This record gives sequence, C-alpha cells and structure tokens, in this order.
Amino acid sequence: MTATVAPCILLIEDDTETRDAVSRVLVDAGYRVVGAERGEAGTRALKAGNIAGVILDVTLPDASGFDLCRGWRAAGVRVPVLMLTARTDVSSRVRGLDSGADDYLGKPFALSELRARLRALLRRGSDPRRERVLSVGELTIDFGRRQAWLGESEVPLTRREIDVLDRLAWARGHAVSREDLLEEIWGESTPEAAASLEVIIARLRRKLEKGERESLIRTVRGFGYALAGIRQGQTS
Amino acid sequence: MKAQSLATRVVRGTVFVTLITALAGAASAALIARRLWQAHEHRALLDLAAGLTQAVEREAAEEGSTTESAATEALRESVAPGHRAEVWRGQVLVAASPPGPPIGPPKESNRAPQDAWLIETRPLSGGLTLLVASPRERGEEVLRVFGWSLLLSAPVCVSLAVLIGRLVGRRATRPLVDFRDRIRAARPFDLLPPQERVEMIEVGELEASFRGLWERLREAVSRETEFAANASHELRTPLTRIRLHAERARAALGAPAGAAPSQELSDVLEEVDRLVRLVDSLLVLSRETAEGIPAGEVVNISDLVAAASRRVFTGAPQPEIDQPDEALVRGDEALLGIAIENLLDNARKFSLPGRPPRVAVSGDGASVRVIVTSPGARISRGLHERLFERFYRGPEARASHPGHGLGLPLARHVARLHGGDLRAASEPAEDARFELALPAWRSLAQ
Repeated sequence: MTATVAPCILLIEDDTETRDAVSRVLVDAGYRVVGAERGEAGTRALKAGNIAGVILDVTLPDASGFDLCRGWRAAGVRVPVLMLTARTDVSSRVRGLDSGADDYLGKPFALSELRARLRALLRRGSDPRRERVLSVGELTIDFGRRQAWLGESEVPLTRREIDVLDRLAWARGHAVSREDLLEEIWGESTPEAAASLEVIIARLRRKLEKGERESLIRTVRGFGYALAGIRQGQTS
Repeated sequence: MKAQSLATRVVRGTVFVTLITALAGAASAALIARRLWQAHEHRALLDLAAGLTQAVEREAAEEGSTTESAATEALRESVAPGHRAEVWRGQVLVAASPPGPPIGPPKESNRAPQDAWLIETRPLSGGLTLLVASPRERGEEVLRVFGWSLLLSAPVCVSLAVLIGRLVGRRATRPLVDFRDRIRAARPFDLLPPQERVEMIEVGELEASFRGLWERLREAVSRETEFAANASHELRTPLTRIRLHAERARAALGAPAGAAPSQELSDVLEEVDRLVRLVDSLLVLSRETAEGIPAGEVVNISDLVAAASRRVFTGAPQPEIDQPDEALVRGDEALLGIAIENLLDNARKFSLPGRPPRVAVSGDGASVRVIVTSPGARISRGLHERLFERFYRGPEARASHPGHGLGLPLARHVARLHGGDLRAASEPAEDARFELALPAWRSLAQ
C-alpha cells in the first residue's frame, strides 16, 4: 500500500445499511469505495476498470455471487474477490472458492477481520489462472479439492495445513514471512497463533517428507518459510 | 407371528395344498376301490354259485346219482382257487372244496356277515344249500398295496410341490424384490430413478403410492431446510447491521478499553456473537442426520480440543488434557468445533470448583473418541437421555447457569451428522462422563 492513489474497492451488497457501514469503515481505512446494490451494476463498475478488489455478497436480488464471480473469471477478470455470505457451511465455502473467489467471510463479521482479509488479499493479488494442482516429485496437492497425495496414497491435511501450503505455493519458491502467514491465515499475530504455525510446519514436514525426500519446506532463518523444489513460474 | 418371506409362504402353501390333496385323494381312492372290489367279488361269487348250481344239476341228471354225490363231484371240479364252496343240508356239511375248516352252516340271511369271508348262499334241489365264499383278506391286501403305493408317492408329490412352489413364489415376488432393491439404493431424500414398467398391477400400485409418499416427504424436508436456511439468512442481515453499528460506535467513542460505554458496546458485540451461534445451532439442528457432511475436510480433533479449551477455560483452571498430536476425522471443522466447545463448556459449568475437568482423546484407526469427565458432578439415572432433548435444562442448570438447553443436543446432532454419536456414559455414582465417538479419517479413494 505504497501507492499514492488509494486503491478502489468495489462493494456489491444489497443491504443498504450494511453497505453504507462497511463502505464508511473502508473509507476510514484509506480505501476508495464504489458501492453497487445489484450484480449487474457491479459488473458494469468492474468493467469500467481501476478496481483493486471486490467485496461480493453471495445473495443478491438479481444474481448469485457464485454465478457472478464465475462469469467474471470466465471473462478473464483477475481482480481479487472476497465473498461475503450468510451461509458458512463447508459446502458453501468450497462452492465459493470453486467459483473463483479468493477468500470467503461469513456474516456477521468483525470489522477488524474484514480489514485484515482485504489487506492480505490486495497484497497477494489474485491469479485465477494459477495452477490449482501442485506437483513436486511424488507429492501432488490439489488446492481446489483440498487433497494431497504421496504417490498412490492420500495424505490427510487439515484446512490450516492446506492453507499454509497454498500460501507457500503461491509465493512460488520465494520465502513468505511468519507475520504474513499469521496475518493471512490466522488473522492475528498472537503468540498462540505463532506456536500453532510451528506445529503445523512440523506436521507438514512429517507427513510430506517421508522416505529419502529432501526437505520440502525450507526454513528461512529469522524470516519465514519457503517451498523448496519449485522455482518461480513452475506452478503456473 | 414371526415375519416370513412371501416366497416361503408360497412354497409352504403349495406343499400344504399338495399334502391335503394327496391324503384326501388316497383316502377316497381307497374307499372307492374297496367298494368296487366288493361289488366285483359279489358278481364273481354269484357267477360261481350259478355255475355250481348248473353243474350239480347236470351231474345229477347225467349220472342219475343223488344230489349229495353230484354236489361233491361238481365242487371238486369247478371251484377256482381262491374261492371256497360248501354244500349243506341243514346243519350237516355235505361237501366242501377246497378241503379245510368249514365256514358254514349258512344262516337265515342270504348275506351273513362273516368276518373273514365274503359269502353268497343259494338253495339247491333236494333241500341242500350252496355256500360260496371269497376271503376278505384278498381284497384287504389289494387295498393295502394300493394305499402303500399312494403313501409312497406322497414324498414325490411334496418335492414336486416344493419345486413348483419355489418357481411360483420366485416369479410372484420378483417384482416386489426388484422394487425393494430400487428403493434400497435411494438415500433420503434423493430423487428416485424413474418408475419402470412392472408386470404386476398390485406391485405397480404399491410403488406408485410409495413414490407419492416419498415425493411429499421430500418436498416437506426441502421446504423445511430451505426455511431454516432462509430464516438464518434473514436473521444474519440485521445481526450484521447491529454488529457493524456497535463496532463503529465503539471505535467512534475512542474511549480507553474498559471504560463503561465502550465496555457496554463490547457486551453488545458478545451478545450478537452469541445470537449468531444460536442461529447457527438451529440451522444445524434442522438438518437431517442422513444428509451427512457432503464435502467433509480433514479435521484434527486434538487441535479443536486445544483451541476450544483455551476459549472455554479463559481465566479458569485449564482442564487436564490427554491427547495425541493428531486424531483425524473427516467432517466440518466449524461444526465439530462447536460440538467440542459445547462439551467442554458443559464440563466447566458442572465440575466442582477447584477440580478441573479431564479430557481424553484417543484413536484406534476406526474411530476417534473424546471422553470428557467432570469431577464431582453426577448424572442421575433417567437423565442420560433427557440431557440430549432440545431445550431441556436440568434443575441445577436452570438454577445456576445461563444457556438455551441446546448445547448437548447440538453436539450429539453434529456427532450423528458425522456418522458418530455422543452419549452420557457414567453411572449415577461416578463422575459425570460424556463420550463422543466419530469415525476416523480414511482415504475416500478405493
């Protein structure tokens, strides 16, 4: 966020009060906000360009957020999308991510969490053409279906473990700082979260580095972690 | 009556009918045969008597001898083996053939019933009486042979009946069995595959009415689920607004945290979050356990227990936790988190002060178990199931703890959605103990 011009957020939400409140909060946080009540108006605003990120409500009067997002992705729109929804069960979340959204937040939400997620999303950017399957040697990880395979056998990875791998894979071999991982995956940088990250890295190493495989997750001393064995560009 | 298969009943029925028919047939055939034999023998005896009379008269005329000697001569020449003939004068036996103990003398009645013999008598000239007889035993023997052959044929008939019964039974129940198989494959409440043509009208009608019922149930269930989802959504929109307002107001106050107005707004936020959890609970409880968790992900129960216990026991003595680093199941992390949090919260409320609850997580490959014990608390008999009734709150809970009476029912419902269960496992004299069992994670790939 070093840009001199404040990034512009497109907020598509049919409930006027929620839209106003969220947009005031975002303006306070230094964003410019374009509001839209319907999917159609939202799509038009998106096509007008110069949108840095979209906050998209799933339930709109004229379309479902899933369909809208899928439509944009099919049309080659690469703006990062954060979905807001009243439905928080696993299948809805998976559906949201499958339709091309980059993150998913259940209603009602804490404003601090919305700000943190949006910040992370804008920094990270969206790359819908990114390969959703990562293969390194024997290991295959399908981030879309959230499954990992070592050769023929499935490796059980929890959501957090997949998230950490996903974030590291996103960096394409570059190191990701501990703070970024904590902020983007735990939403907070507390000592508990930091301890939890260490546990997850240890578990990932134990589960994915069986046999004589060289270390998959490289520790960058005093900074963070990186995926070894893949170089920039290899996953796209 | 014990339930039995339709095909078995058909076989039994066929065998029963065959047996009855065979027995009745044998009995009536025997009676008829006996009658026919008697009539036949009578005719034979009458023929024999007539023949003998003629022979005696012819002999007497040709030889000019007395009737007595003519009778003796005629009897010796003309009585066929198997029969017996005697000539009597009054009470005196004149002649007999073949030799043997006499049957007579003849009684007044023409057909005197003599036990062992079938008898005909006829007067001869000169005051003599001719008696011809046939042993009843011969007829009885014929009947016995006849009866035995019928009896011996019974097993053949019965095996035939079983065979035919099986064929008929199988044919008759085939449409029903097919129907059963089609229904068995359906999960509640999927769309059923289209009805196939059935050659039996009754089965077709049965299937049609079953499908009608299924369709109505399906509609009712989907209406209910939709209602719950809509209600949850409708409630979330105002809750979102309230939360946003409260948060913005707290930020606008800018008062140091802990100051009265800011603290009150924080309380509002907490209440909103509680209300959201209640709405979520009702939404979860409205789901059919048969639906299961369609898009389950890998969940580490040990992580959930650690996180839930941090939340539940903030500022209170931490529970003793004995668990492996990983205890993996497949499911919905948020729901399982709620279930475990409810269990721990329940343990916290009812443990005696100063005696922290114990939590043990274990896995044996097939299932993952979470056992939560509250030292000092007791579950009285009769309460083991009531605790899981929705909105039920025990006397102690009503007296001293806030709640909705949804914590344990919700936890059990979540367990059952995951194909597991939650039950109260302690005896009335033991520390209260709850056992949550969930199927362990295993790869879905074959």
